[in-house]
Amino acid sequence: MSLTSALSIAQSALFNTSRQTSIVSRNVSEAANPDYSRRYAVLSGAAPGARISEIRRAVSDVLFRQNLTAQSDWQGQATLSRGLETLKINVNGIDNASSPATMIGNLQTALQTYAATPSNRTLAENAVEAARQVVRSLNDGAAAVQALRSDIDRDIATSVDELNRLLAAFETVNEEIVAGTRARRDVADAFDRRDALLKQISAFVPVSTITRADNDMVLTTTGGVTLFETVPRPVTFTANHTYVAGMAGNAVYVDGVPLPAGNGGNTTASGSLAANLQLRDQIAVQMQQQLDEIARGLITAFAESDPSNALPDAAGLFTWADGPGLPAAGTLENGLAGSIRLNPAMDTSAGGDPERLRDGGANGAGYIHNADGAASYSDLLNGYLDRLQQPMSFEPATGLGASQSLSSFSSEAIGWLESLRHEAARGSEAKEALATHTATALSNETGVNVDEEMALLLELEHAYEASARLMSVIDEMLATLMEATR
Amino acid sequence: MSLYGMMRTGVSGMNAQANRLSTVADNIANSSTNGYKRANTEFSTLVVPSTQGSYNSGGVTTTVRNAISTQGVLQYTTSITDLAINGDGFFIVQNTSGQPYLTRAGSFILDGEGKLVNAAGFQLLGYSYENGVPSATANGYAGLEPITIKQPELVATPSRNGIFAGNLPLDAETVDTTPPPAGAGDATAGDNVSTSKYSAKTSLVAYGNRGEEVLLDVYFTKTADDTWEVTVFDRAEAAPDTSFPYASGPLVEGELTFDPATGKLSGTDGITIPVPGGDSLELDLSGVTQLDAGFEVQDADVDGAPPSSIQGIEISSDGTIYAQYADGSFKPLYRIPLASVASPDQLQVLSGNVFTESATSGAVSIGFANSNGLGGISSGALENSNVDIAEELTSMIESQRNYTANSKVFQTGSDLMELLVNLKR
Repeated sequence: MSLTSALSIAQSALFNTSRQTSIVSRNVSEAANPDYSRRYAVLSGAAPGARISEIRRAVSDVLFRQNLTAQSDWQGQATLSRGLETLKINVNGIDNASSPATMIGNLQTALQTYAATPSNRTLAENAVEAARQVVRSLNDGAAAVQALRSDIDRDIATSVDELNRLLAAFETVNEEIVAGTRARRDVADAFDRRDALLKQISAFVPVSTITRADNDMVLTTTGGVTLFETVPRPVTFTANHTYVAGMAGNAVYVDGVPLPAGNGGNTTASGSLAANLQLRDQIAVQMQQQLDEIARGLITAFAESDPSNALPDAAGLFTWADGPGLPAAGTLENGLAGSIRLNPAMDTSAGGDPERLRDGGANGAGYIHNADGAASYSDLLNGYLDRLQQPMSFEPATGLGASQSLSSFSSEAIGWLESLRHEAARGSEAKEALATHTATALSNETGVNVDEEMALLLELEHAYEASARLMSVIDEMLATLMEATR
Repeated sequence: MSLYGMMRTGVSGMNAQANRLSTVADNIANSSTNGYKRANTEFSTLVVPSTQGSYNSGGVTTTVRNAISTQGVLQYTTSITDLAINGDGFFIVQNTSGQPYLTRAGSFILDGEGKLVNAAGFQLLGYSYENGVPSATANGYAGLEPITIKQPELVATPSRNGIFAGNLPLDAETVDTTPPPAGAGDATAGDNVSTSKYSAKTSLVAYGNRGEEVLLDVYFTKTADDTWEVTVFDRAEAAPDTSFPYASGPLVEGELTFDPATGKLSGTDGITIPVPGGDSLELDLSGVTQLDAGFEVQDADVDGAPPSSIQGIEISSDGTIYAQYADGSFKPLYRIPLASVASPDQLQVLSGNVFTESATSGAVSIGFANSNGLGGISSGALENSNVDIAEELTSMIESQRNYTANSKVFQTGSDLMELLVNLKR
């Protein structure tokens, strides 16, 4: 050991301290960035003096993966919850005010009032008006369901584009990390970017990661389908611009494998894509089927019959595109809720006579029950009211009871949506809590703690002072020596 | 016993101290020269014959030694072509006329021809990997050539080995190929029809002979309990979205059987895929299990590399110079040998921080870093001179005093001589 080497050690100590200080200042400046992981310098001895061998990045793989899963689950649940909320408002209205069940209730009341005073033509008009509201509610509901499906379709198309873009960005960053790791460059910033991209990707699809040599990463969905391996795999989807009832949507293909949709109110969907697929292909479709079955129930319940039984039953107050024939009993007729309309023969505004509701005969003279036009005739009206309460058979695919009365079927439809919505909202709360919790845990582990950084800064300041002092002492010693040389 | 003799002894002492002061001056001047080795002055007595009662003073002779074997302090830099030897050994360099020398001054930079040249203009020599892994010629400079980092042609490596590890789900539905009415008559992935069914799919990137990326679709189809069909297709021939049917049949078809006791593979544990436009790829499937869990990929890796050019070089501590390609792979270009001699301190010192063999140093023997007692090569570091200013200053003060003392001897002789001359009037 000599004075010169002491000087060189002091110099390298100054250099190390200033490098460490720059790391601390970087940490502090990025303290508010959620995608930033704390950096720290690892010193290694190199005789003489210490050399900063590498800048490491605080990581916690386990917490990060948990956070990714929690984020995916939460995104899926939140998407479903939002979709259900939209369906409820658009189809059933606020407080179910415009739901078919409410409208059918109003129709029943109007019919009862009319049946009590069949001679009052104004009450007949009221009953037909109530029927018009039922038709509108079903038509609007069916349109809203299909509009939601096409909205979701567009949303899926946008998400797929975004996912492809994110995977392409992932490729760039991954290449940078692999090349940097091989060349032993500092790639901490690229790691931050890759983690941020992973978080964004996991909002769309659930992601599993495999790390290969040189920090090369392979992404698969939790179903094992490859998303990224050296190059991004294509995520393909063909959007439909318009949806009609009974039309199936296109699947989202990841690497040629269809992405499975979620299931249930507290959904199994992870990531917004699976939840959107569930909304589009299960919930909205079921809702459409329920509306179609309500429409079929109404047409059947209000069908007219020939008193002499010579003619076949025909559509009465409510008719449809294929009227006056009746839709087949117990069979789902896709799109019926969209095509159901008020029978023009009973609609004053279309030149019809509302009293045909009391007397029959919307489909011709053969169907008139009150042949002599008695003003107090109410048998038909009471018959309609009874039929609304009588059990009939419904398509089991609707998810509601297969054999029940039309009014209970229509109220059960509301209950079905409400219970789904409730489950989804509860699931959303729980999953959000988990996502927040894991994010906090991750941030505690890898985020920047400014207090800690400040404490480290104080230490560094002292170390710097000490090294500088050492240099000045050595300088003085050399000066003494110079003094001696005269 | 003579006054002249005494005066001459004083002069020889003064000369010796002047030599020492010269080496001190040299040392101080080169105290910041990388790879400089401190010069030491050693004195030895010179005795002339004397008789009883008559003593003849002799003199002092000077030998200059260089502390060549003493390690200098390593100073770290940001250039990876700055090299330092941590331990024994010398870089072998040559001057422009091709004469080899030894040096420890390693501040090399790439010159216009791609040669590594140090501050004194000497070119670094090494063994090339062009004709395979080089070995050192122990006792001569044969086979050494100036290290030249040129941008060579692009390099592509076709895929030859790969590994896939994962889990195939135990409860996967069996694809029933029995024709109706006994079974469902479904088609497996290997049948390559639009209705082909499969249980799990993954895909791998492989590289062809010209470095082109080939995406391989790997399908696993459960055909019976503990029996899976594995088929590999070329993605380029896939139908849109669903992939099936591919324009031509599978590249390879294989069968995996699992041991029901452990869920591990019991039969073949790999398949050989003829990569379209490439070599045959041995895909190791020994890590595939069939357990009651979902389809999961645990490892997927295929070797090979796309065509790429040199992005930079890297020098490892054993002296191998690697070219780093754009895809991150490495290829060794040269290996830097280290030379050693039996007595390094007796090497002949020449301008430009270089040394050459002398009659007493012993012959040069060449080896590689980190072997046979040779030191390691640090990239991004330089070896400072091993001069300590404080030591030099103290010896300077000492020499100054000694010189003065010697001059007093001479002066005394001169005074006595004057006295003697004045005896005769």
